[in-house]
Amino acid sequence: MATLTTGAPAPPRVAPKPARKRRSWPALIPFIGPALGFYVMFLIIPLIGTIFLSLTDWNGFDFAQIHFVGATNYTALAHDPVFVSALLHTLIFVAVAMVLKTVGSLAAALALNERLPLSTMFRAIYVMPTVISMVVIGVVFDLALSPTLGLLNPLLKAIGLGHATNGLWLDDPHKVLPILILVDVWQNFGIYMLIYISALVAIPDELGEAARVDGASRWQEIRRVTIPMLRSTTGIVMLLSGIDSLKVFATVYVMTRGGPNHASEVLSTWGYSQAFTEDNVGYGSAIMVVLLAIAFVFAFIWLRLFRSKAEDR
Amino acid sequence: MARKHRLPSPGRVTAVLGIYVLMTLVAVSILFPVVWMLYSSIKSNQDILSNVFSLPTSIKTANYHNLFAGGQMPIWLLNSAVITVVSVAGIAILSALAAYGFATFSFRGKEKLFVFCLIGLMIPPQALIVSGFKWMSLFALIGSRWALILTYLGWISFGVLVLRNFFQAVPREIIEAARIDGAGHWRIFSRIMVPLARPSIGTVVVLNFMWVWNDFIYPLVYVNSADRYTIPLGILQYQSRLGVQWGTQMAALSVAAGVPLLVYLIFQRQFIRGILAGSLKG
Amino acid sequence: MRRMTRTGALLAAGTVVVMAMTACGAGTGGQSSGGSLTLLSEWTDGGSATSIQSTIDSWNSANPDHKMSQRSIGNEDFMTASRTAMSGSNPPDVLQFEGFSDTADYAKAGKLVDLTSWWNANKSRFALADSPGVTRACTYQGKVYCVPMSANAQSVLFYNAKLLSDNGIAPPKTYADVVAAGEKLKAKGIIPIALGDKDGWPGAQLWMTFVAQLCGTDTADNAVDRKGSQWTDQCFTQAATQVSDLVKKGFFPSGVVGDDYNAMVSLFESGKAAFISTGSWFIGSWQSAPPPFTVGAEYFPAVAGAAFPDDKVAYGGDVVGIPTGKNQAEAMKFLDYLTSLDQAKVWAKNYYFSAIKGAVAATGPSNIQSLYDQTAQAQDTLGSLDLQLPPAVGQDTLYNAFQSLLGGKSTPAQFTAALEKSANTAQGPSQP
Repeated sequence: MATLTTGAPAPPRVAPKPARKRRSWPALIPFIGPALGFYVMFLIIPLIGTIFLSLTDWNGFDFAQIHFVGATNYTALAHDPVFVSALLHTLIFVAVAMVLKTVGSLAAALALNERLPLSTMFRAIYVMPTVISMVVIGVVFDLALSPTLGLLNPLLKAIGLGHATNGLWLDDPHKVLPILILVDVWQNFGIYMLIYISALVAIPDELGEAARVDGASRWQEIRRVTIPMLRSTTGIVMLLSGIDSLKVFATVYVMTRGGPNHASEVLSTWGYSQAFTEDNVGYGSAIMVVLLAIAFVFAFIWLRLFRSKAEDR
Repeated sequence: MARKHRLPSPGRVTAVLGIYVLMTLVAVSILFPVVWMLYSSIKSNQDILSNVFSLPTSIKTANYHNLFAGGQMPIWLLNSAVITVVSVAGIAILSALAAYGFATFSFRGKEKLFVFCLIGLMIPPQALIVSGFKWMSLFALIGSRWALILTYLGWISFGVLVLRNFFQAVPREIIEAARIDGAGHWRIFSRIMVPLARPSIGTVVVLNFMWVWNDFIYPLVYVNSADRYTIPLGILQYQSRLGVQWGTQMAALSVAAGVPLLVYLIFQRQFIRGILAGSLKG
Repeated sequence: MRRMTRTGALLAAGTVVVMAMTACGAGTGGQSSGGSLTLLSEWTDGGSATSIQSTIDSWNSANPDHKMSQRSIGNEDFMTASRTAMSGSNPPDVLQFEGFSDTADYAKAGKLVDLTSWWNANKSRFALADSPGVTRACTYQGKVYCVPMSANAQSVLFYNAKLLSDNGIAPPKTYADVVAAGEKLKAKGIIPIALGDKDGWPGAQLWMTFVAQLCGTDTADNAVDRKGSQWTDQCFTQAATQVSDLVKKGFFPSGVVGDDYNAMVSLFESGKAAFISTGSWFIGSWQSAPPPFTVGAEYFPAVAGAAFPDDKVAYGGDVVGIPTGKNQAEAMKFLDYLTSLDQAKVWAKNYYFSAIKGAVAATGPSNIQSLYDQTAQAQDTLGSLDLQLPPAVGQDTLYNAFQSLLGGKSTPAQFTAALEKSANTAQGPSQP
């Protein structure tokens, strides 16, 4: 989040000359060592374990019955129609959710930055969904969207839109993914909104002043001055929100379990059910590794774009 | 704010009204689940089954009584508190140290090592539970709180990223001045950098608190007796495929969400200041 | 900036150290050492949760040297927890699970103790002991690896007696009565049959009800075993057609594939739906939350012309096995205790369909007696097909293809074709 810092318009990059040139390993290790130790021991090693499992046919029952099968799991992916659609759903999910989260959080930040009354209250409320367990959110949304028990259909009916839809929500294979994307956006935009707010605060007011002197309206001022100033923040918001959506699991798992009939299956849920309900830990791990690979590619592309921009300055 | 003194044009009034309507709708959609959960937790099971969204007709504390007197909620709260406090404190200390290392030292391969440290951001936790379980079994840690704490201590990526960026933005002169006074790295770190970074550390603490507190996938596989459950796992004890204990579940969810919500509301100012501070230092 | 006061810092550091030590102290006891036993189960709903706690409490006071501690997880996450725990070196000492393909998987991996001799010595105490539903749940390659706890009836049609009489409908005795009642209710704007198939199994059970009636237990079991019968055989498709006819008649609520079991129960208990077709475990929640109206319960009536009108979907419901581990001897004693008539009476009192003969008759509530007797006397019981099949077939294809059928997105023939294809991939072709 202090990507926050990098995200701010013009934070001074690291001082050009390092403070001390002399070799300082003995002094360095106490600082970096402990964190790296825990990180490698309890995150990287299990990760390597997962990559190893993805090369085996392990069924999850007995480690004596584990066989190395090379890349078989990966070649099998291409012939798995559910994997292909889960991959597609994941990519759609990331693309749409990333754009919506970025636009939504920017809009919210700009609105709150107008310093209208109650802004603080809204700001506090918007961050709340990130704090609440997905279990609660899932139960409420599932019920509220239920055509028979829910609130949404009666609400639409009350405002005269009862016939605008077929009354189905999570049941409708065409609507289920869009709904889940909206829930993901709804749940997470608050954090990105805070990132934007932190960047907005740092934009010197004189810039807007100049635009106003030129007779620009508030909206024109935002469009011509503010938004371009937020470019690097936008980069960070897109990276973090994209990776977030790539990893999306609880939202889908709790609300639809990937259904109906795989209509909302994403890579993380498909990998999970392969590993834990279908006795294919090896195959499930391969799906997780693919997910991870996509995250790397995504981060790499972002890093390229972001680096070149940073050097422009 | 110059714009405040401007005479509002009709266009601006409409725009502001529109913004308010929209913002209120979003806020209502957020508050509704919370409020629903809270009032459902004082309804009886039968009341919820008969009408899930109706307001309670009377206040029933039976659900909370089930949790605290009849159930193990106090133990789960303690477990969650211990695990969260130890892990989050550890994450904050470890990542602050590492971030200082990355921000002030220069060494070969630094950027690569830093990027390596960010891999953690990209891994969905459920991808690691099978191998993590096996790994923890080798140390005979399954069933102990240490299995969870150690796992969470690996979650340093976010803290390192946030705090390194903060430390890098601290003006060099401050550090140089201290150095001239004869301060070593430890002194600079503990006396200057950490106090300066308090808001950013607050951000790291608050967000990690949420993540650790709400995590259920690691407790699900690493814990093997109900008296070591954390709260998100305890909730599962009130869920069932074959029967509904809706009232008790809502009470359990209220407790589970209540703690991080309280932490958030109490630290809200600090938290937001932490985020704002990031840019203000520039 | 304000400086953090030194006392504050010391206080914080102190708290952390104390908590770390607490974690350490409590942590070292984590491994189940010789003295204590552990139980992993999904007994979280009203009746069974109360019952197991009571059994454990009395066991612990009688066996202070071998105290049992349990953990239970009620939803789909149970699978994740139990499989991971069983794959490790320190599995629970007693495991409750759902039998069938899990039994085979655990037994194949050598994770369960062979209970054949125990079962032969004790099975006369169990209802349905020799019915296919129970034997198939626990047998792998001729050996018995688990013991049924319940004699659950699965294809039960519960009805809201008040709602029916208010609408001038007599409790249905035949399938034609059910259909006639449904038409009448539908015309009055009442949902005839509550169903929520988000999790897949409630819908699958409805299909199995018709499979039992139309195909019979043997044919269905042969299809599972890939011995001659195929899922594309006429009767399986016809069973699916029965369901899709009900869908076409509009007997199910809209949103049937998005709502879960809880929502389905809520539809019934709120009086929005007149019938609910589910298993006898539904009764288990009545002790803590009795429905606000009289509920009638009958086995789902057989469709006209069904070849096997008396075949019923029923099985051990939940089964208990002893994982191979260091506390086997004590765990066996616990098994004796758990299945004793005295304990079974406690369970039956809590509305649990205990498999132990005589328990329900002795202490079970009167309104479940007749349903229980019908189940206990059933000869041809079909074990839940979703659990019998390998999970990739039973819990992926079956659930998903059936959702598609319920949602009107595919035909009965497409449903059975998908199932056959998946079974063929997972188990190979069906050979006589």
